[in-house]
Order: sequence, then C-alpha cells, then structure tokens
Amino acid sequence: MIDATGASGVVRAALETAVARLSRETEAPRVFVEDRAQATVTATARGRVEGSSFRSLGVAFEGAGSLHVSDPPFPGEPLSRLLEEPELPLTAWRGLVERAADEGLWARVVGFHQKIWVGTPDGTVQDVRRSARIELASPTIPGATLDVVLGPESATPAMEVLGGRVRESARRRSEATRIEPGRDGPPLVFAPGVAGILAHELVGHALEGDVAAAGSRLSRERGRPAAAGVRILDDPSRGRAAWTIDDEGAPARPVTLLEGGHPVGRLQEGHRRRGGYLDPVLPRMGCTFFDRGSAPAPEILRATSRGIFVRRLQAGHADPMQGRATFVVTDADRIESGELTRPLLPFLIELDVFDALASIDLVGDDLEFDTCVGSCVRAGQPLAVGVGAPTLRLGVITVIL
Amino acid sequence: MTDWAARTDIEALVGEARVLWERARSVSESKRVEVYLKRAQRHRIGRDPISGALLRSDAIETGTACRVQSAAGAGLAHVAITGSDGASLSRALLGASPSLAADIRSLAMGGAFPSERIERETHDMDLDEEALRSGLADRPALAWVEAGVTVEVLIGVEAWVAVRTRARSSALAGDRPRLFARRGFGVLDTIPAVDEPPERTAPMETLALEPGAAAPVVASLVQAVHTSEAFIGSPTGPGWSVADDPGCPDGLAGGEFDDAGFPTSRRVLADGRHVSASLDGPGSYWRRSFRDAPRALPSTIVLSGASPTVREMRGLTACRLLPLGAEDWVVELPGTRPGYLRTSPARLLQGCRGTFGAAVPTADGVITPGLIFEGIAGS
Repeated sequence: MIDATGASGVVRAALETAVARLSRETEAPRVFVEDRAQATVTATARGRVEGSSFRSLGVAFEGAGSLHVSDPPFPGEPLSRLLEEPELPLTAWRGLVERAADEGLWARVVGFHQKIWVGTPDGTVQDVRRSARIELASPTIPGATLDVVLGPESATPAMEVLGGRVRESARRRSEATRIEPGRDGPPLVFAPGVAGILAHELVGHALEGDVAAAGSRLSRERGRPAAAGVRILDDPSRGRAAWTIDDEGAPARPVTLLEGGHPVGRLQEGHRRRGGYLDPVLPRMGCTFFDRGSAPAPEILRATSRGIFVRRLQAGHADPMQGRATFVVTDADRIESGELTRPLLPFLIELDVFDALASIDLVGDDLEFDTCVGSCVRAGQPLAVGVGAPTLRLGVITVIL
Repeated sequence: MTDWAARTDIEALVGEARVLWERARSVSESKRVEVYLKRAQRHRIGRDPISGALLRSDAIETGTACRVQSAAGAGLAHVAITGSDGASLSRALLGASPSLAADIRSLAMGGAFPSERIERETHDMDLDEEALRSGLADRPALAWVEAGVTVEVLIGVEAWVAVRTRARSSALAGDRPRLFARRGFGVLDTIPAVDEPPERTAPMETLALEPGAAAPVVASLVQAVHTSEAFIGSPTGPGWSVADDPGCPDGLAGGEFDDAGFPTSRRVLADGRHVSASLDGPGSYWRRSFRDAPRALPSTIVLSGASPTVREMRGLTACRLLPLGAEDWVVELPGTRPGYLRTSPARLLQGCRGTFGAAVPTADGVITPGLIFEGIAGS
C-alpha cells in the first residue's frame, strides 16, 4: 500500500496521462476521480448497535462524450489498491448512538468522507468533502424526531440535551391539533435556520444555470421587490457539506442570488457537482441562505399578534418553471398575542415565489445554519447540502391541508 | 467480440465470481459464504442543454457483494465493494461485523438448487447505437435515451451458480420531466408523440389516473400495505387486484430466482376484496443495488383490474404522493391550479373502485391499467 501522499502523486500522474490522451481527441478534456466512503451506524430500540459502510471508487473521463468506470486500473492496478480508504470516525459515531440508546432513543448516524481529483489541461486539483448527521427519534411517538449536524471533528453533542429536545417534541406532538386549511393563512414566523429551505426550493432551484436558461419564472419575470433587507446567497464553502472546488475543478464561489427581491446571480461555475463518478455534472446549490437582517429576533415573535411559529419544515415539491413550491410543516405552534400557545399537527403549505418574497417583512439578526437537515435530489443525483436563515416573518401562505 | 460483449461475457464473469468466492471463504474462515457480482454497461445519448448537440456517455459499473455466516451461526455479515478486486473484498471482509438484525432465512442453504442456472434476457440484446441517436434527434422533447445490459452472477453456499442477464432502456422526456423505461431496447417506441400537461377537470370525488400517474400510488401502497402482515385480511376496493409477478416477461425487475437464489413464483397480494398476502420469505429477496443486502421487496407488481372495468376513459397523467405521516397522506394532482386530497393508505385501498384501459409497464416498475378511486378524501 502506498501512503496517501504517494498515492495522490500517482493519481495526479495518471490523471495527467489520461488528460493528455484525451487532449488528442477533444479540446477540453477532463478526468474526475472519486474515492468516497460512507457509513451508517444505528442503535435500535432495544439498544443494539449495528453499522454498515461502503466505499465508492471510480473515474469519469470526459471530452466530447464521457466514459464512467468503477474502480478501473489507474494506471496499472485498481484504484482501490492504490488509495487508502477515506477515514470515517466510526468509533465516535458508535459511542454517540449508544449514548442515545441509553437516553431511550432510536438513533442513526449517517456520514461520508469523499476525496476527489479533477485533471484538466490546466493541471490537477483535489478536494475533500465530508459531512455527518445524527437522527434521533422517540421510539413511541411517530414524528417526534430531531436531526443534528455533527462537526467535522465529530464534536460530541450533549446527548442529555438532545434527548430532552426529542422528549419535548414527543410531548408537543401528543398535544397537537390540526390547522384549518385556507388561502391567505396567518403569517409564518420561521425559527432561525428553518427558512433556508424556502431559499433553496423557491429561489435556488430556479437560478441553477440550466434551469434559469430554460426560463424559470424567477429568471423570466420581474416580481414585486421584497423588503430591502431580503438577500439570498449560495456559498458552497459554508454549511454542513462544504466544498472548495467543484467537480469540474473550478474554485467554489459565493453567489448572491437575490437582492431586493430581484434575481441578480445564477449558479454556474464553481457550483457544478455530480452525485458520483457515474453521473454527469449539474449546477447545484451548496449552502443557500437568507442573509442576516436587522430586526432583533425576539421582537419578531413579540410583534406577531396571530400566526404560526415554524420549528421544522420539509420540502414537498418545487416547480421552478411555475415559481411555486409546497412544503410540509412538520413541527409548529400557534402564535397568539406574541406568545407560543398550542402545537400543531403536520400540515402542507403552498408558496408562490413572488408573493412569498414580497411578503417578508421582518428579517432577524440571528443567522443560523443547518437547523433543518436534508439532502437535495436533482435528476436522480442526491447531494448533501446546507441551508441557513435568521428568524424571519413571511405573510402570504396557503394552508392546503 | 465487441467491447460491449466482452465486458458482459458470462463465462468470464462467472470465473471472476468463483475466484472471489474462494477468496471470501478463505479470508472469513467460513463455509457459509455467498458472492454476488454485478456488471452493468449503460450507453446513453444525451442532448447538450445549451448547444443541442447529441453527446454519448458510457458507464461500466461493477460491484461485488458478499454475505458470510460465521460458524457459530450468530448473525450475517454483508459487505459490498465497488469493482471486483479480490484484495478490496478481503479488506472489507476483515473489517466486517455480523448483523443480528439480518434475515438469516435469506441466505440460501441446503443444496436443493441445480449446480448451474442461467436466465437469459428474452428481449433482443443487440444494441443499435444509430437507432438511439436518430430516435433522440427525431424527438426534440427528449433529454436523453439510454440502453443498458446487466449481468448478475450469484454463487451460493454450496457453490451453486445462478446467472441472469437483463436488457433495459429508458428515456427522459418533457419540460416536466417524465421517465420512461422498458424491458429490452425499445423504449422510444412507447413514448407518446404528444406530452399533454395534466389538467384536473373533474371534481375530485372520482379520481381517474392514467397508468403513469397510477404507478407511484400503486408502488407506495404496496410498500405501505403489502410489506408487513398487519394488513392481511383488510378490505380492498374491487380495483385492488394485485400480484407480485417476478416472471412477468415485461417486468423491469424479477426473474426465475430472486437475488438470494431462491426460485420465485407469482404471488397474489390482493384479490379485489381483501389483502391476502405480504411480501416475505424465500422468493422475495431482492437487492435495490449491489450495495444492499437482499431483503423482502416487490419485484414486478401487476394490477390485473377487476370487473367492472371501463374500457374508455381519460384520466390524469401525473400524480404525486406527499406523506405527512404513516397514516396521513396527501395526493397532489398537478395542473394550472394543483388539487390536493388528504387521505390514508386504508382509504386508498378501499377506494380503488375499478380500472380502465390496458395494463402497461411503467418506469416505476409497476404494470398497471388506469385506476379509478372514489371516496378517498379523509384521514
């Protein structure tokens, strides 16, 4: 086994050879090498801990067309013999789920460590991406769940605190009531971080380079401007699964997508990613977020006489061509006279991109990232992404069901 | 022999799998070892979204999985690697730990199987690249068309060998992306010339879904209702006449033996009156990918429909399910103004009142006619 540095050198040399060979056939060849380890560690309700891991290795040769191959000889023997497997902190993850089981919770850690190399006629660049999260759930109350991002060094969250949050969620779920459907529903106040999902679904997808070029509504219509403080960005170097170069070898770059309610940028160079070596690159979001505002966050809730406080949200379906998206509000409370009162059962809302952006009237000063955790699937390619937002109030929603 | 044929040469792959099987037995020091080797070769012609030029993309994916039961018999270890490198498999096996939650019945033992079984694709496997290219060129609404062959080799505990070859084709169409898929390479022949947008014109008391719209509902219902014994005996509407048919010649999945080597057979899951069976046990062990251990899953779900069946009807061509909870589903019916129905698996099951038109294969792997639902609102 060659050590990682040496292997990297061999991969670089092999990339240069492959690029030189492709250069004879095409003007802009590119070779992408991926070595990705991913693992899941689960504690069942009975406290039994089980884990599985998988290593994905392959190369994509791209020129006028492309060839994608699993663990090919590169240059003389399989990549899997050349490279040391990316290290995952499985022992630490096992300890986490064991402690969650001690708290009486079902728990699962899912994480990955991906190394990539991209060779072009301009040279070879390398990047490392990694991410992990723990999912916790009450074994008795369906829907009482919590997702928490684990830091790169697997900093240990206080399990008693997380367990307390899951138990509180279970208590609230057992007392929850159903909301009445209707148009012009009450204003929504989003807990810090949560509205990042709106930015991702309503704005980010519509401004992915190819989607915008195809005429997404946000890119083709001038909408009513949002409040002056509304600004949406995508910065792949932030969030739970950051990258420093994209899968075409271009440096990641932050892009301002929306300023004052109008689109001002698109996701293009620096944002091209692929689900894995078998997939083609697509323009993708890295970490999409509403920028920090100026309203003191506690004041936003106090200033809301009647509304809904959204603690957790899931994407339903986004249609960037129509400028519409549905979301499942999975955890929320009624707001009455500036106070949180009764918890609500999950419900479905629909938002129109221009109406929603124009109705944002308060943006808090407490920007947070990844309080809601999810993956984005585009054209069948899953990608770990980040989202962020401060506390934020939005006025126009339709509660569907 | 072309590269295409060489990479999917059965004899060579069986040889590779045998070497891996011997190695796994040696490394694991167990005699209860199963090896699954899969090689897929896909050939795609896609349209560059900016220039419109047709681009070719080939993929060769090889994966190996191995299951080992220790001599003590406690638990079942499963490892999977990209490729078929013996050293990588050895390393994975040395780091493996047995799962106590694994279904031990899914490891075929007992020596009852023939020493060699080969199930060859019944559809034509000769790829005509030019036909794919011209087919895409003639259909501007298509983003890409793909054809692929897969060879799977399974070597069981007693060294029996089971081999299966498959040919599939698929295509992505329309501004609102719709995936089409077929057994064999003829997917282009099945794509409608006009992709009419789905519009909901009738009130939602009666919901008629064309096969492409019905398929995701069927797949979700089968997953919710027929993968545990909890629903057996539950009443169904007359339209819910469902079988899991691994041998269906038009099925995208399935085969004469499952992915653990057990012989398969058609299994009636519901007869239009009651839920009669769930998917479980030998003959129903399938792998979603070589990365996953085999477990009880649907193969090809076939809805035959029940009388009265309507011959002519026009239903919605698209539909989505959004689960709010296990018993709380929302059916989204796209259109200029989308419609939404709150429902539940039990209501959909009982509200499936009939079928219309012929059953056709869909990209969801379900073969279904159009379905008629009534009285499904509520949860």
